[in-house]
This record gives sequence, structure tokens and C-alpha cells, in this order.
Amino acid sequence: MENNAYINRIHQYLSGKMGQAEKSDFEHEMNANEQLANDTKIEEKLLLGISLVGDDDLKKNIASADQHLSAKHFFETGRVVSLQPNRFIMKKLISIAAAAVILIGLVWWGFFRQTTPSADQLFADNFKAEKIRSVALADALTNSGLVDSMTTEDSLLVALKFYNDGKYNEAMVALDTFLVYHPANDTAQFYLAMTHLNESRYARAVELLTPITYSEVSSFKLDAMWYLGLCYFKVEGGFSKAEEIFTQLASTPESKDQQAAKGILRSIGH
Amino acid sequence: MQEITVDSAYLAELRKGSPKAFEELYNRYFRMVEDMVFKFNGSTEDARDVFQEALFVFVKKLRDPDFVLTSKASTFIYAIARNLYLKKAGKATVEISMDQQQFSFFAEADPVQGDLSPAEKDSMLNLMADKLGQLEEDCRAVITYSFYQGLSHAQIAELTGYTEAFVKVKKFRCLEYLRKLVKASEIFKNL
Repeated sequence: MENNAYINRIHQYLSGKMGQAEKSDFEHEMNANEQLANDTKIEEKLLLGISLVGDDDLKKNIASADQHLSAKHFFETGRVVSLQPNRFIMKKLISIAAAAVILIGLVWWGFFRQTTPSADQLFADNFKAEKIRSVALADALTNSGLVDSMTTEDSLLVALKFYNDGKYNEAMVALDTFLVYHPANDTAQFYLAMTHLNESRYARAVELLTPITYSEVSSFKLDAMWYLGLCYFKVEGGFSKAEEIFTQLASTPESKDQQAAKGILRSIGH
Repeated sequence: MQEITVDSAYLAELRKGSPKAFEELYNRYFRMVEDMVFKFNGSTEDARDVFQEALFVFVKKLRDPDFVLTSKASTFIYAIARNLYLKKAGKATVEISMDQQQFSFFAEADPVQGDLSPAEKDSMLNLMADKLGQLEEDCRAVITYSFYQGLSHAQIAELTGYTEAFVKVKKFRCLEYLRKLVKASEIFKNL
């Protein structure tokens, strides 16, 4: 057994690295040579033993890594040491989150959405053409001696009558004419805004109502705020401005629309 | 999942059985295997068992000089683990759906048995561990590299810093010494 080539040949045979002819020769030789057969058995056991120890060491090293990670809570639910998210848990969490989002969406759509009116709905629910003051004004103007003639100065009365009759285009012409001569007349400006509002020309109504809401003296200021707020519900991007105006009105006891403003704010979640 | 680049440095660490290299495999691939085990209603403990076995097979294959890893490490480990788990759990017929050659060994997770009974195997293991433990560390390393890991003289020379010629001489000298130690044992004679 001193000869490395001899041992090497046995190892070649045991590892299956011999060709068929060489293997056959070796086996014939073993049959005839008891020493070679015994040495081959010894080498087989020796190599097997080395493999067993190698496998055992490898298993121990892997188990050691497992234990080391276990000590660091790697296998616990919290996965403190994990460098990667658990795809299974992640998928479950995503599924749960998705289901929750859908559920919330359905609840919102089915419940919250039903109780939160749209801007259009808010406008429709709250807009009513102002007639009380316009009728009173027309009466007042008639009683003050103005006649139903088509003079420029008297056209306010005519305009208000058109307005009260729902003839908004005629009222608009009359009010425009009146405002040429009385540009600072807030009554004419307010009702001109109302005619536009009744004809769904909201942007123009906003232009006319806004200056009145800034007035310190106009008796139409609070009414103008109310309608301006409603106008903003119909103007793109105007919802927040509407909210702002109704918030002001809701804290203004002088406004006849204070409660209505509070109602609008409540309905939109304030 | 971050895929392991099968570079020589990392493989060398795995071949050496470096605990850090194993932990890296755990960090990268354990959750994948755990997911698979969960899908079959297994537990984390089951996953730990099967992952250890899969790593054992994986590293043994990496140590085989004739083995060339042609798939991703994750694919390889997953396939081994899945087949081992299915077999272990008796869930279904073992599946080998990928490269047949790459995975044909999977059932041989513990192939080194010879004709020994479990008791004989234990005796042999204890004897050889004892005798190998009596060798100098460099001798034990050369024997392991050569006769267990199947590394070439050149690879051993690179790992140990010896010349190839010295490795060739040393491995037979060390083996001879080991042989003498075990042949003197009654256990060895009776196996």
C-alpha cells in the first residue's frame, strides 16, 4: 500500500472513473489477487468514512447557521433579520388590503356617497330664484311713482317686472341699459347676476356677484354671498370657494341663509 | 429576490462550509421555501427542516467537480426543497419538472450510505470523526478537499497555498496515516 499509483487506481475504480475495459480488467485482477481485493475493501470503507464525516460536518454547519439565525429571531413571525419580505405573507397582506379598499369603496359608494350630495345636487337643492325682494322692490318702485314706461331711468322697474315674470333675457337687456346710467346700482347688478344665474350662465353671475360681496354698504351683500356660493358649485374648481363662502355665512347671524349654509356644510361633511 | 451571483469567491465560501455563506442563503432563499411549504399547509419548522436538507444537497452538488450549475441558485434550491418536501410529506408524486439532469440527484439527499445499516453508519461516523480529529488540521483539510469534496490538486493548492506537487504528496501521506489509525480499530475491521 506504499505505492500512490496503486492506491490511486483503487480510488479510480471506486469512484467509477474507469472505462469499461479498465474496470473489467481491475475486477478480474481482484478475483485473482486477494490483497488487491482486501485493499479495495479497506479503501472503500475509508472513503465512505471520510464522506460520512464530511456530510456530517456539512449538516452541522448548516444546522449551526439555522440555530444562529433562530437565536436572532429570524424564523419568528416578526422576521427581524429577514432581508427580504415574505412573498406569501406579503401576498396575503396585499389581498387583505385590496379587499379592505374594495369594501371601503363599496361602503363609500353605497352609503357615504349617497349622503354626500354632489356640487350639482347641492346647487339644485338650494337654488331658488330670488323673488321676494324683487317683488317687494317692484312694488316699492311702483308706489314711488315710477311708471311702467320704457325710459332709461325707469327701466329698473321694468327689468324687475321682467325678472319677476321669469323673462330673464328681457330683464337682462333692461338691467344692462339701466346700469349704463347707474353703474353703481347694486340692486340692478344683483338682479342682473340673478338673470344670468337663472339662465345657467354661472361664470358671468360670479363676476357680477363678487363685487357686491366685498361691499361694506350694499344691502344685497349677504344675498350675493349666498348666490355666489351656489354659483361656485356650478363652476369648475369652485367647490372649495363655495365651502369658504358658506362657512362665512354659517357664522353670520344677520344672514337669512345662515341655517341653510350650515345645512350645506353638514351635508358635505363639515 | 436578490439572486446569488455564482462567483468563485462565494462558491469557495460555500464549499468550505462557511456559516456566513449559509446564512446568506437563508436570507435570500428561506422565505421562498417557506412560502412553498405554507402552500402545502406546512409550518415554519417544516420549512427549516426541508431548507436544511435542500442546502445540504445544493452545497454537495456545488462541491462536485463535474457539476455545472446551469439554473439560478433560487430555481435549484426551490426545486430541491419542493421535491424533498413533497416526498417527505407524502403529498404527491415527486415532481421533477425542470432540467432532469440538474435535479436528477434530488432524492439522494443523503446518498452516502454504502451497504451499512444505520447502526453501522453511526459506528463508522464516530470512528472516522475520531480518527480524522487526530490528524493535524492541514492534513484533515487536504483529505477533506480531496476525498470528500473531490477538488483537484490545483484547487487544493489554491486553497491551502501549497504547490500542486506538495498537495499530491501530502494527500497520500495524510491518507496513509489515517488508514493506519482506522485499520487498528476493531470497529473498522468488523464493518
